[in-house]
Amino acid sequence: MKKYFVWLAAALLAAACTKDGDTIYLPDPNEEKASTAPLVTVVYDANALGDHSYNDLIYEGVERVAQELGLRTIQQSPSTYEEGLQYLELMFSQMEAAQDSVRRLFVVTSPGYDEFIRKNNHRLESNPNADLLYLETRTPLEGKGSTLFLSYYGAMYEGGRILSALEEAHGLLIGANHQTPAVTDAMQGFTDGYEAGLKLLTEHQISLCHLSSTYLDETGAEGFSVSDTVAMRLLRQWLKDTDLLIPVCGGASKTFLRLIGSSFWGGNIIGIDVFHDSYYSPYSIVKHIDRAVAQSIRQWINDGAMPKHQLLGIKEGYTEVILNPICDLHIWIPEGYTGTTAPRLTLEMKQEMHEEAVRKEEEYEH
Amino acid sequence: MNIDSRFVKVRLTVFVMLPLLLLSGCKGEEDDTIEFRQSRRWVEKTIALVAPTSADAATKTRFERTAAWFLDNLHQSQLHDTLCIDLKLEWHDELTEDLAQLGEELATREDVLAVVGPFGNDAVAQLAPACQKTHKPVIAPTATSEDVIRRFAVGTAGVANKEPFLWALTETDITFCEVLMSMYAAYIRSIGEDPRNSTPAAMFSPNDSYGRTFYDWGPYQAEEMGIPFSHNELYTDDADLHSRLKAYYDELSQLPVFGSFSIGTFCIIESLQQLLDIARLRMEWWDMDPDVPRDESSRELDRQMLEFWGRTYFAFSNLRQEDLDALGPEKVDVLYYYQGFSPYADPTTGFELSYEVKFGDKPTFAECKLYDALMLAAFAASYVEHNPSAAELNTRFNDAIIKITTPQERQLSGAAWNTTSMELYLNAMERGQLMDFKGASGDIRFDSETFTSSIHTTYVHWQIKNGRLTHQNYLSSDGSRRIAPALAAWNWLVQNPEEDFASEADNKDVTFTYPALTAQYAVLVQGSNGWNNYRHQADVLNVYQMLKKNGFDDDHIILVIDKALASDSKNPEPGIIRAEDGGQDLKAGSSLDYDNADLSPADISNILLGVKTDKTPVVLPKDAGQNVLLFWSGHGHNRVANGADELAWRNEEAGQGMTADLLGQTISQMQQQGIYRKMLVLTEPCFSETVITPLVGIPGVLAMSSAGRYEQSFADNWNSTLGVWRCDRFSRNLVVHLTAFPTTTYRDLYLYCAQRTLGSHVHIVNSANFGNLYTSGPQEFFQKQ
Repeated sequence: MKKYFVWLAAALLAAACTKDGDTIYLPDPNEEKASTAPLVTVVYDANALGDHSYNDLIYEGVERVAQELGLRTIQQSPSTYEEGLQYLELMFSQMEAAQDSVRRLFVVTSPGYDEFIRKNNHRLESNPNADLLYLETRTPLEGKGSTLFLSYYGAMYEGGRILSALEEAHGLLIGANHQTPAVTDAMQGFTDGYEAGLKLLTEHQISLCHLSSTYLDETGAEGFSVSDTVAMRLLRQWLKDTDLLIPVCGGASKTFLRLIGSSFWGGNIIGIDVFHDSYYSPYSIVKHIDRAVAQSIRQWINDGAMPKHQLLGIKEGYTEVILNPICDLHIWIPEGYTGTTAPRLTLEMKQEMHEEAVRKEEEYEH
Repeated sequence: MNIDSRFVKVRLTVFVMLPLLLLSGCKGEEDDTIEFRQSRRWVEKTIALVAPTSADAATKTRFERTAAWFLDNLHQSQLHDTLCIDLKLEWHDELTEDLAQLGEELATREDVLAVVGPFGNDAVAQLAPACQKTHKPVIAPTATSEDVIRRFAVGTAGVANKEPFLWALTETDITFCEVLMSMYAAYIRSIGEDPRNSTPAAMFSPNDSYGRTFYDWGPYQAEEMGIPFSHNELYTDDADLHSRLKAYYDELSQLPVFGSFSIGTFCIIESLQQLLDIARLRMEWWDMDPDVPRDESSRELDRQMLEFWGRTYFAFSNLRQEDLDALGPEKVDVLYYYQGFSPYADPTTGFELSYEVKFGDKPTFAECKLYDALMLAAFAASYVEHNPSAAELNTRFNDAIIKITTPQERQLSGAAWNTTSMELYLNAMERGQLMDFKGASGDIRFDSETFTSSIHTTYVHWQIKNGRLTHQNYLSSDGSRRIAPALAAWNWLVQNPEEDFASEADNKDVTFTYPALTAQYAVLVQGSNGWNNYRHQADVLNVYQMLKKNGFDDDHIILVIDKALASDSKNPEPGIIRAEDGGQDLKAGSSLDYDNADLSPADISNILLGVKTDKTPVVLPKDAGQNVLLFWSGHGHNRVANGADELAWRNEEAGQGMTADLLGQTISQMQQQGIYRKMLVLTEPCFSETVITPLVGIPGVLAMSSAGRYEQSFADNWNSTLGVWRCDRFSRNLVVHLTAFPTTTYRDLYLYCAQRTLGSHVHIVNSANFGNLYTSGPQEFFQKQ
């Protein structure tokens, strides 16, 4: 009974009561309460979901960790950039104004909203229960909020090393644009790995190798999506001179991967971000962004906060190269090779390349 | 039932309570009564959910878990509100219950707020008429038949209904056709070919209300995309589909392009077994035994080749992983790489991903739409509760749907289907604010004129790989070439009618000389019979009445119709025929020359040629100075679909109608025998371009058909009481335009009809042998000179 009155007193103080004649109305203490579980809100780039790639991975990672930890989620994929900004403003306003003790984490998935985030993150400081996780930036936030950067350099380096080891492979690196750091880093990693591998070849072998690059948006910061019609035209053009495409262009990569996998284009393509299970995809360079985001959310829940800035990559296992078991990768015939069949890339060779990639990523990022 | 009466009464002494009450602002007195009451009022609302739950265990499980998930989300989302909807579902099985009777029952039950379902097209057609009478809201999640949905639409497109009640959450399959055809056309262009030179496309659809939309609209969309069409076939069962496809593949092998990548075959299927049968057929066609595992070394290439050869674009909704699993690995291997399309959820809502995380499987199309149907019902129910009115409940609910799905200034910036976003939406509604929202499957918007039909649907491109159902890509159409992006797909506008006209009427500067006009005659023929063909008689009588109004007497009109039709026992107005509800009795004052039951096409030929026989005492005079109008409404056949290009005659077999050859010969003889000065031939039936084509080259003849050689001609003005369409679009447009603009030119008449005869392409032929269509007009055939 004593416990009951303590509770009742608290309820009375917390909730308004009304009186009508001789009757005082109080809230029913047994009434079902609205959930106060921590709320994770994620805002994506415009029309980002449905890419079967980076963004879908984040969505799944968040939903899985929410299921595991009993969190509530709102994941919004606006239809335009402006709509995304409006939503960000709405969410920041609500977090600023929130008077309750509900813990709220706000996740921004790409640097598309960088200017807004860096101008407004201080607004969250008035709410001790609000926090921010900003992905894909190397520059930590000043003031409230954490950042997480998943380096793709090492995995791409390993991918480039593998390509140089393959016999007479002609590759084409396809970047979304010159301006997005995640794209240029990845392309640099692949090129560095490829060039490092060339040093191990003979002059004759080198003369038979080729790696070139192109950008979908030569002048701007776009190039992350492409229509099927344009993609098919480009594929016809590219595959005249190359036989392996390395598409580092977000959602557009998915279009190229899908098209190559569904028709006889006569070319191959490397899976980007997620493992691409196709006869035409000899290996994939994978980002486990879902695991990285889930891990950060666990830290936020369990430790009360996330590290101010996290740089994760191939060493921590958040990126990796996965060989497609249904594809045979024929390598250059090594000097003194006496086998009767064309030599293939072995797991031991790949492991050596991986260790080299780990070292190179550390050098690059520091 | 209102739940807010569940108060808990507790009497407490002021000694304990007084300080607390003072602290909280209430002044307590001795003997005061304290009542605990809930802060929110739950209002129970019942939705009748009509779903195919007896189809199989998996279907039932999926429907139930999706509904339960929604109800839980809805409940949780309202815990911040004071007025909340407690949605109760009353389940009905659309496969075992008498749906017409169920419709009658639900339509009058005041405790049922709305009906969600049925999911099948035929089921909707059975249940909806009863609900139409009381305007009981029916939210149809997956019905996509143009014919079924358009019957219950509201508005201007030749539809008489005044008040909406049926809400179709998926666009009709006209849009699905568009998606299939546009994707194929883009593919052809991408490989450097012109679609117009590619192998003619073929489409195989089931002979039911689902397949009918593809059959009706496939050729139309193909023409819009510039894709030649050769086969448009309806199959009756799996065996029939098998034999038709085999015959088609045999034909393909005779073509010079055999093996080309530019073969477009569209197959509309309804079961995984059909897909498996087709995949096996294709292997057998290549002399491979589908029951023998393929050689490991060439397996991958074989799989790809088998799928790619003569690639078929499958339209197949509701493919499920558990069905693939049930086939076993060997059978699934035959299906490796096969791909197709289905209406689905917009991926940007996240519903598909959340569902997969929650249930470990992909949602079906039906589940995505079920979720949205329940959400729409709940939101509308909430709106009705928050906005009391004296109007009748069904009307309030239907109006609420219009209100909440009409674009708002405020946006939720995303989907409103999960707990937290639904909470934001409903909380705003409680505060009197409406916001735009997306459902689990994307935008929920309805045609702004006809209401009934959704105007946004996402389609998923699925593929079977490694025994798994994978989603490759998402496509949608937002009405790029319809009259407006806010209109239903059946309001699709012919893209370039002026260009089409210019290409068909290229004799702008040629002059013709005709003898002086001596008389004007009209021969008006209904080629069909029976109650279901009410519209054809209305078409003919509509033209008849226009002629009479324009000064023609009965001696100059030869009228041929089905005499028994107007007095059919199903006609609630015996002897009366109207082209629209409440319209003029078109039969009144008409003078019948022939009952078509007494004639044959050869007799029609005699009438036109002025040959009097025992059966044809009334014929055209032989006068080289007279203008002759021939108007024909009824059914049509074409060589591919039925074996003959003809205007069908009553219930006669194909080949027994007014064939293209017979019509061509007849009019050619009329010209040679000097029976007309100028002649205008207007044909309403399906495919009727085929019968006017032979008239090209005959001097003095102009002919216009309602539809292209592979196209249907569409009906208008559905009447649920009569159970028939009241008229046809082309005929209605013809009469409307000629009545409003008696001095119109042929060009303007063509443009009017071409732009408003939705669903088919109006064709006009032989202007080179007739006259300048830009300066002359049909007044010479319709107005007594």
